[in-house]
Amino acid sequence: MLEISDDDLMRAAGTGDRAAFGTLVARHLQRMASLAGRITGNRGDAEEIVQEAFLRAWLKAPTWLGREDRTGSAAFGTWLGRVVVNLCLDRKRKAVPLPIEAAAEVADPKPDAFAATAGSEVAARVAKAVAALPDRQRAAIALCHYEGLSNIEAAAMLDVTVGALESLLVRARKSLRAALADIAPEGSHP
Amino acid sequence: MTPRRVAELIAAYGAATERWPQAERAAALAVLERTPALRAEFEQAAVLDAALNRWPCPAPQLDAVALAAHVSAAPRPRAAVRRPFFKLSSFGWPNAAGLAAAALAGFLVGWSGLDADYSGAQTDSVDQQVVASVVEDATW
Repeated sequence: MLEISDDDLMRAAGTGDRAAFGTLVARHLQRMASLAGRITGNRGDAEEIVQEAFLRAWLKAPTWLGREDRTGSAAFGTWLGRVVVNLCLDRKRKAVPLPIEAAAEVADPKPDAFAATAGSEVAARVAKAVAALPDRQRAAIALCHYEGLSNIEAAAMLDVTVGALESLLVRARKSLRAALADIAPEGSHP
Repeated sequence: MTPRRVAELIAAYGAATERWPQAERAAALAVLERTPALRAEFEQAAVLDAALNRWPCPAPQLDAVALAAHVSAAPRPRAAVRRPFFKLSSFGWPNAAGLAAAALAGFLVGWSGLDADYSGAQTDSVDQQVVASVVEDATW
């Protein structure tokens, strides 16, 4: 059975079909929430941004042409990702990320005491280092490293060329390497 | 594909080769395989990748059904409809009838010649008054 394309769901949502819109939300929510979380480093901000992005999609639906990108169902995802990235970049940062909150969520089913402590510290340091990056570099790392998007998709969401995206990534990784140089690889005890 | 380009790929995308651009991946891996000088950069990038992966995602936990229901309950503003500059039906028949009656009355007045005679007589009368006042001024 063929999956209904995002463009068709948007057009249906444009006529007031709330079930079609629900399918779109279910399809894209996780990625958008993750993306917003990585760029803002803050759950509260990310939640507001995701809601705002989907509200814009709902309002856009009546005039949706599906021409923003001619790659079929990727079109809506790219458009929505760009909305999320722009909302994240436009947002005035109210607070720095909460390293303790992040550290509490290190996934480790059976950590020993040393591993749990070390993991929390590393998570906190990585969160801080990523938060210290300039906005667009942070967004580039979120899109490519954490969300695993292709360079073409990530560049489209950031509205830059692939070359410019690579430049952002190189600078971001250089800063991160300097900030996290003393972190030992996982599994190697000092 | 040159070793320099492979170094750029490592610097930008790290050591997880699935993140490298698909179009360049195979050629870059082949260059990496036969260029020992790139191994150190590759391994350093792998260490950074591993460190970055130890930050759990601070994504909000949102319920898709509730979010969709909440958002789609929002009213949409009325779509801006482009209207033609002139549309007969927008006048309404009472207006059109009034316009036609006024046009007909104007035509009849013009056709009967009353307007022309009256305005001509009035103009002559005014001209005579002006001439008289000029003559009167000159005698002073």
